[in-house]
Amino acid sequence: MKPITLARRGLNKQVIGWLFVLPMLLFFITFVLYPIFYAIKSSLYRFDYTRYYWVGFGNYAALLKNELFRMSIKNTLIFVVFMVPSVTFISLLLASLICSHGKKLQSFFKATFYIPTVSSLVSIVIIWEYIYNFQFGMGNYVLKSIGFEPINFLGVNYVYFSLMLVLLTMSLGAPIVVFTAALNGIPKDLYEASAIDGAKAVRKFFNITFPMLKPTLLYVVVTSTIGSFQIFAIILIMTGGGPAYKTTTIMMLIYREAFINMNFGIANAMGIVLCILICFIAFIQFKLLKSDVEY
Amino acid sequence: MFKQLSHWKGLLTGLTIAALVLTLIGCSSGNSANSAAPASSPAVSPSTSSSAPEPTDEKVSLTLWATQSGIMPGEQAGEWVEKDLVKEWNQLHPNISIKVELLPFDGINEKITTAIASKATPDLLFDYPGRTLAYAQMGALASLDDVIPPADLEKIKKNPDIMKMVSVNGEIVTMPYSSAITALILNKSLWKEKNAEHLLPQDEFRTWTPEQFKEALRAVADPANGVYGLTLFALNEQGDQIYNNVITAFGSRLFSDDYSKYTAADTPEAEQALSFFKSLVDEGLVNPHPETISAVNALDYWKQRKTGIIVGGTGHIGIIESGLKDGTVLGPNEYMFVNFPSPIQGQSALKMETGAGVVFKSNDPVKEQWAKKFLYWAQTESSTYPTAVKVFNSFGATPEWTQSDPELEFLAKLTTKASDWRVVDPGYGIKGFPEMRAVMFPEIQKLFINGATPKETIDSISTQFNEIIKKYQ
Amino acid sequence: MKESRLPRYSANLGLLLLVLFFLWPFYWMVSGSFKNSSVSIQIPPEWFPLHPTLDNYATLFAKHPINSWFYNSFFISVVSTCLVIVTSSLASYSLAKIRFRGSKALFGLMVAAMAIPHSVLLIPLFNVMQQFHLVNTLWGVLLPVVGWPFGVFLLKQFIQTLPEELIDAAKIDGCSELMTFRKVILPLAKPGVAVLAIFTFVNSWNDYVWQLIMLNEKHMYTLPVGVKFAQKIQEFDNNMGMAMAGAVLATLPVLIVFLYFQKYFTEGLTLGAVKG
Repeated sequence: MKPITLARRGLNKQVIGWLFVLPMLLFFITFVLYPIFYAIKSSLYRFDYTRYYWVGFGNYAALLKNELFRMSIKNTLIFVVFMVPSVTFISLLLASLICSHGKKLQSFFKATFYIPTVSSLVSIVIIWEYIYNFQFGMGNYVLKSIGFEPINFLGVNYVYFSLMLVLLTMSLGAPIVVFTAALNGIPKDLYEASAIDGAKAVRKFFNITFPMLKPTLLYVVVTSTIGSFQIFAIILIMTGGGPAYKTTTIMMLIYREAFINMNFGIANAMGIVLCILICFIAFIQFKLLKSDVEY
Repeated sequence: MFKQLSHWKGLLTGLTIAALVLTLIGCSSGNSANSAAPASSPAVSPSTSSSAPEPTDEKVSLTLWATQSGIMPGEQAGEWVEKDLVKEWNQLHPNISIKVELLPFDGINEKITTAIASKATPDLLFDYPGRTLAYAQMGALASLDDVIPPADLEKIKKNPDIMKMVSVNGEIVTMPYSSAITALILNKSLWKEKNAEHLLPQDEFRTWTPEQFKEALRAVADPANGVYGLTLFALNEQGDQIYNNVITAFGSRLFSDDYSKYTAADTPEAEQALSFFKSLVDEGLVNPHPETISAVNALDYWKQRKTGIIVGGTGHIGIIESGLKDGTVLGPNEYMFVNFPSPIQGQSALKMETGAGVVFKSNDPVKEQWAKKFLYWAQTESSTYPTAVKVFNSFGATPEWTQSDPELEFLAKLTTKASDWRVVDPGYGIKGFPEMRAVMFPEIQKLFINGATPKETIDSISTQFNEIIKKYQ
Repeated sequence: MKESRLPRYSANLGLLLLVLFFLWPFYWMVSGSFKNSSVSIQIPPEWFPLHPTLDNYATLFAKHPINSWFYNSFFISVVSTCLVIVTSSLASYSLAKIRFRGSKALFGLMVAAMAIPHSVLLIPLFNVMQQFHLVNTLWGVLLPVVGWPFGVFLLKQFIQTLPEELIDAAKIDGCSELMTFRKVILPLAKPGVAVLAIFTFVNSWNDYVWQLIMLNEKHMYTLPVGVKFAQKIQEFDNNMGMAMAGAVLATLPVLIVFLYFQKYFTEGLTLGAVKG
């Protein structure tokens, strides 16, 4: 075989690298980047039903001053701060438990947890509304039968708790699937080797499982962050963003501005602000969970 | 090195195939792209005149989007448009074909907004002015002045109440011949069972004061079984009907004549109406926690005899009739239309919605003209349209469908009060109306969770509404 | 040393309880589909359908082009999944292992793009589709899915954990990048690819709003849109039994696909090749 010079190898690597990415890149540029640029451009304009006019960063400035928008950021952050750790931790725990069972049982468990993720929103909402309905719902039926006072699940005091419970059931499925796949992919001989060395379960987890899991952990953390920041549909149906804006998230405002007020400029500006927020947090997550796995 | 080349070839072949496939897609789907009138559609060259061309019956194909409203017996909601209305039309104009697309309500905002923003609108849209007047504000709708006979046009333009509901900037944009009336529909059987029928409105036009209203609610309230006389709901913007209607019935004026100001907070009646609502909750006369109840819930309760009164119109009679047959409505349900309570004796406010259906501006004048003609025909000459949607013709005689039911006859009689009583003016035509609607219900929710007094609520609503009006002026 | 059994038992009990909690809504959905619309909204509800009826399903099949809807949904999901797997696996291998100059920046750009809410992009994307004359076509609905980078992100993380030695070994044996990719990486990344397949299939299937915007004719509708449309009796009235039946029909194919694919990611991997 002809000896290939180092430079040649480097050039080949570059070209091949880009070539492999090219198909995906074509779709990405056409269907994602181009619309994003369009959205950014449109966020620099404002609409007043008869014309579009340039405002530069005016929309962004108005947003920062807008009390409702600031409140929605706060509400969204509450959801994110609760959901991301809960989803990550619980799904990892459940995935480990599931992996300790036989294959058939694993399939059953995974399918069970995945069902709410896959089900149409309508059926999920119907069922949970049926639980949370103050007068006729299952929740208060059970509470009353064990002697407690009925709770206003969707009222001001409990609405976060109630919504997060629903969101949890919808959000655990996908991470569990990802984690079980990753856990099953860790070579068993690594564990055997450590067992010979006498390592206990916790040690095994931290020394073997966790490092091998870091990349998928990063994936789960980042995608649940993005997902939590963009929670919208279920809140719209179950609470309308209320009561009194208590559960109004950024996405709800975006929806309202874009499709009800038809004010695309401001809606897109909100979307960009949201994106920047997410990227900021994702950047930190990448730094924390960075791993160069070599073994 | 040659080994590498051959594998590159493999990759390149793959990419070329992908590129070929993509181009093929572009070509072949040109045939199946039956989208609504795209901006680039070649204009069927009209005859010579530049203003309204005289369309002859050449072959024209229109697209119509309709919501799933209105129903003909034996069919599903919305099916009448294609099955009955268009069929009727084609008997007169076989060359003008109309493709109907029924839209589910879920996602309708996104669909229509995207179509407008991308200039991919259909020729016609059957929807109510609450949504469509905003499209007119955006300049997306065609003026209908040229298909309305001059005599009618004059009558309409002289009537500010109707103009407010059907026009924008002085031009009529939604076909004004369709008038629907909404009132309160109650289940008389609930009161009969409690021997309280005498508490219901007894006068000819069925009015009652707030005190009489509460008295009637008290008679059937049964909190232990979850039964109430009325269900208030405020989960989302769909709740605003009853609040606006009663506020108007109390004597308040929502907007100034020229729509420059929201005036409900300027006089005490609106605040009184809100206090009235609050008292209903506080006195346990309505389901608790209305901020968590939606319009859908209220309808379900009413169907199952858990609530006695809801806001309703002619469509609800259909629900009762078919519901009693298939068991979705629990009988007995002897329905009766009554008015919104008002402190002014013998009076109330009428909620009449005039106008339905719009035509989108098109690059093709011939299509636009035929679309307008179709819409005019549908509301004035077609027999299907009023029967399916159960609307009154604002300028015509009482339609036939009212004769089938004394309650429907009552509604027809009620419309005659439009000259004496206040007519609710929700402000559909104001720039920013959808925005207003979205900010109102959170304030009502605040009222119900004791977060604000009635006065603070109406003041807050007023401030925000006036801000919105100013923003778009 | 023997570990105590108690934690294991209680953990499994907890798991069982959770399973019941998750299965119950599904049970509700299925049992509701066999109730006629009156019983389905009954308060208090019927735990077990006493008079089960197949009417809901019958109506769905008889009165609506449900076969078209199934076909459309399947076409969109299957084709987009295939395209995503091909493009994403190539791209993620490149980003994870080839690591050419600019790959980090490119990857960063892709993750950042994931953060943009889709509703903001609906209108520009629709415009793009208009320019390609793909409105009201199935291809128009499915192509944007291939552009979303979450597949690349997912697979990159999976491939990242694969040992470098394997790749080096393959190179020494004279494999080109493409060959290494096909013969070495892909088989090992099967679990990741299977996960991606399932996720893409599901996301494509359930993308209600985009489907509604793009499709303009009843026979072009996908299952989620069609079902939403079929459950309305009157303007204010939904037939809950039909809604549940529609939900079951819309969910079942996805579950079946899931069960089929997930065997690929339950398989353990033997890396016997790398011993020593």
